[in-house]
Amino acid sequence: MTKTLLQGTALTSLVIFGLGLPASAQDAGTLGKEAAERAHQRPPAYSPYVGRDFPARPFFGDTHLHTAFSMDAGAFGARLGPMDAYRFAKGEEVVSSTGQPAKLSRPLDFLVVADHSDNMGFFPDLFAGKPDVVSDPTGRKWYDMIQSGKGGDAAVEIIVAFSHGTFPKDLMYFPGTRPYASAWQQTIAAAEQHNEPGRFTAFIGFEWTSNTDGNNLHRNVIFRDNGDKASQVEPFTVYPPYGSDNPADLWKWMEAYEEKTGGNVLAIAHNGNLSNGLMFPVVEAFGKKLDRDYAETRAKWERLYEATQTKGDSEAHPFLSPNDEFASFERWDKGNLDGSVAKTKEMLEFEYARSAYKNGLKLERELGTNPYKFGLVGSSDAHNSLAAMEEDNFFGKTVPQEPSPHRISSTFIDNPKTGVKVMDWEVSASGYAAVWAKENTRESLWDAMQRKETYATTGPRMIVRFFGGWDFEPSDTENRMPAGIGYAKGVPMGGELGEAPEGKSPTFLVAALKDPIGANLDRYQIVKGWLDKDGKLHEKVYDVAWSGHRKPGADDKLPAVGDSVDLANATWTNTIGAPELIAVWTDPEFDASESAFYYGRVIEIPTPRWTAYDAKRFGLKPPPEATMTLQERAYTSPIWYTPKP
Amino acid sequence: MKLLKEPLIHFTIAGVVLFVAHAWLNGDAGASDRPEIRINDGHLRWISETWAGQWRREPTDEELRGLVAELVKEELLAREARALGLDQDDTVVRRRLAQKMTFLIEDTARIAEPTENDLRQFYGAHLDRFRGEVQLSFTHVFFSSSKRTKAADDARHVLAVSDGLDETAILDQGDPWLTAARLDDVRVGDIAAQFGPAFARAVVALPAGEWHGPIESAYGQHLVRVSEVVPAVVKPFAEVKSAVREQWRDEQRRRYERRYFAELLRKYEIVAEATAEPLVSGLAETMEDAR
Repeated sequence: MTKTLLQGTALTSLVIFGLGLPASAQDAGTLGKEAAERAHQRPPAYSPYVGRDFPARPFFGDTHLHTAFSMDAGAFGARLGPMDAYRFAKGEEVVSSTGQPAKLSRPLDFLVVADHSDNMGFFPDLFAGKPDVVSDPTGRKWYDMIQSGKGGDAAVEIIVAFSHGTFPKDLMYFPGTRPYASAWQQTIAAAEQHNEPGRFTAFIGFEWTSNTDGNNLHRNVIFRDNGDKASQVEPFTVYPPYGSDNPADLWKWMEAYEEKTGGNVLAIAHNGNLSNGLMFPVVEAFGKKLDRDYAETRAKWERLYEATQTKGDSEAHPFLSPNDEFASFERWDKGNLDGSVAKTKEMLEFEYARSAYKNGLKLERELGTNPYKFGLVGSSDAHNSLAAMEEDNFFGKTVPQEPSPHRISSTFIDNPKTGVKVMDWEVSASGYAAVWAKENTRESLWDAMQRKETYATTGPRMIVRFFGGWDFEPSDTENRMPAGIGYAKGVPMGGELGEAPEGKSPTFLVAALKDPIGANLDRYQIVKGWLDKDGKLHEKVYDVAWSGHRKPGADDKLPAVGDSVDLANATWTNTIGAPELIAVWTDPEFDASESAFYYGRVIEIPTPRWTAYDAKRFGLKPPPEATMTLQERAYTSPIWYTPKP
Repeated sequence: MKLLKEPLIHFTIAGVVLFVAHAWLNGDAGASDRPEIRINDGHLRWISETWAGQWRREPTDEELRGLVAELVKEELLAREARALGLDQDDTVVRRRLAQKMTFLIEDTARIAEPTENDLRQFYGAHLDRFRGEVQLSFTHVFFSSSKRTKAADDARHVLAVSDGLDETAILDQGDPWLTAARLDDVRVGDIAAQFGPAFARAVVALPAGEWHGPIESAYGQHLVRVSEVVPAVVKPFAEVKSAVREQWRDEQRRRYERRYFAELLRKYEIVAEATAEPLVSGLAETMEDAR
């Protein structure tokens, strides 16, 4: 590895907190003197055990994994259930639905099995030919189709029937029916069996799947509680008359759960890129004008947003952020979930995290509350029980996408009527949720999600710190334990800056370590969005720490880090980039009268994408348009600043 | 659907063939000059049940007719093949027969259901299998390879002069570290998750008490002092009961298998030629141990 220098600068002020080579550290004679000098530089109370008072490490997991209990997953061939999902997440080897042995490079720390609540558990019963299912003529027909080798046709028929409301009523697995209760109890039992406080957290959860007209408004619901409370209810569904496709009704259900059981639930909004402009409304939602109640209720229940997953990335879009050269990442902007309506540019603003944060500031001014003050996570949304989101170990989004020589050239969405077509190679090996919690338990992790002390990663497990406050100084980067200073002088990701002291600008202590078995880091950026006095929204991306000796050009842009990828062999080397980045940054354009948000974005050096590993391992020639390398990344939850009214 | 590629189907079909063949050989063949292929009620029931077991419903009359026709055809071919000696020295046939026998043994062994007492006894006899992982507490000083040209030398130097310095003074010689300087009660996996697997392996091997290093992580060099090692403790019975049951079953199956082979070995005489003799001589005794 070549020598790398860390630099922290504010682009405009160009303050370089030189983390150059401390010559004295290599000088035997000055050891005592140096120690003494350093001792004077930092606050006196300094215990090595201070790490115990705040989250010392992030926990990595998946908040959004489907198993054969999800109807679409089952229809497309998933045979592994929740038990298998937890076993795999814990690092055990399992045999996938296509008969391939699968194992993670290292265990995850937590997992939420979030099967679709509508018709949960239907498919395993159909496949097993349970009497309840095959006694219905349509159920019989589907069963026979599957048994005679036409499972694919059956799957399509089932999904079409379901999305068009022609699914046989007698076959519906909905709350209140015996088979539905059984599926939910099995889901809970799997989580209870695999939950090992301190070691692995198996959350109880489900996905509420509002998908009217193919517009994806799904939410994942996560319980803080154990089975004793979760089993007192059954998941909220969409299909009428028992369910609803309106998120406001889901929030009511969540409220009712907490009242009934004294427990806690939170919701994570599905990545919005397939909602066709509906995920983050600013005028009305489901025929009702947005009001303060909407804003407060949404902010109360929807604590997090899934910024990256297999169906692409929803942090930022190049149309909305033309000056952000990293905005076009794993982009899915052709239409909605079933491709029935093509995307128009007007929709984009209401689908991406960054624009939602911006519009949230505006809504806050109008309604008194910001409905879009959510934290960020990544998750898989895989439908095969396998949260395998490593580029070199990607088991696909669905069973047909499990490793095979065909997946690189197959089609994921194809709607000939609208021309919306998404290829399987566009499916993203992403991502995971990182949670800064004190311990690995349901309660501790859930509480961290609730306070939004989380970040999204597109797969690698880089460690990312992000603190905001008014008094961070360049020397804080030399503190032996930056986190101690971070919590002492500021707030972590997901927090609020609070009132601005006279004449001060927000300062941020940012730091990142690469994934211990992964690629080096290119840069740490801070994304700022703000609302000016005239009600105009702005955004800007600042490079605040980066590897090597690069200097920003005349356009303020930092040159690219380079590329060490050997595509033919699907390898790369850590000869560029840095294993760690740290800096203190001060907002050079702060106006205390303008509300703002800041979040961190950490970018890795280029590495081979899963398509490159497929091409190499299967000896394939990939489609010329396929993306073959990528720069993996992490997005932190923002820190907000709200001026005094 | 890949049902027709399922080994279970192949196995079922092969099973039918063997079953019928077996019934045949043990029946009163030879009552007429022309060899008979007999299909009786038992066969029909067996075919139907096998079908129903896989397809979850009874076959229709037409399907049954088809199945029987297939069976007869197959039997005719199999009979002719056997007459020509095609089953002799055929690895696939031999393996299939052996496999079928294995399934039979396993099924028999699986029937047994353990009592609570069985499980407790098993647990008591195999405490090591239900031991958790070693946990340790350690403090580390980080020497960043990003910030230093000679991180390992720097670390070695600090180690050399560490005698008599308190922990804080030693920690002060290091570089900023993002997670914690001290990790309490962590397992190998926890260490690997933060520092990389090689570092974790090295730390777990350290004796407690003194500073050691430098040990390389994904980020640079570290001096490490392990303060406490909590040996792996045996988990309480209630916590591991389902694992105990799994293992008890596995053990039963294996024991049954060994016993069965021991009996078979007594039933047959294994005659080995000189070169093979040393390889098979201990076989019977090994099997006998299982009793």
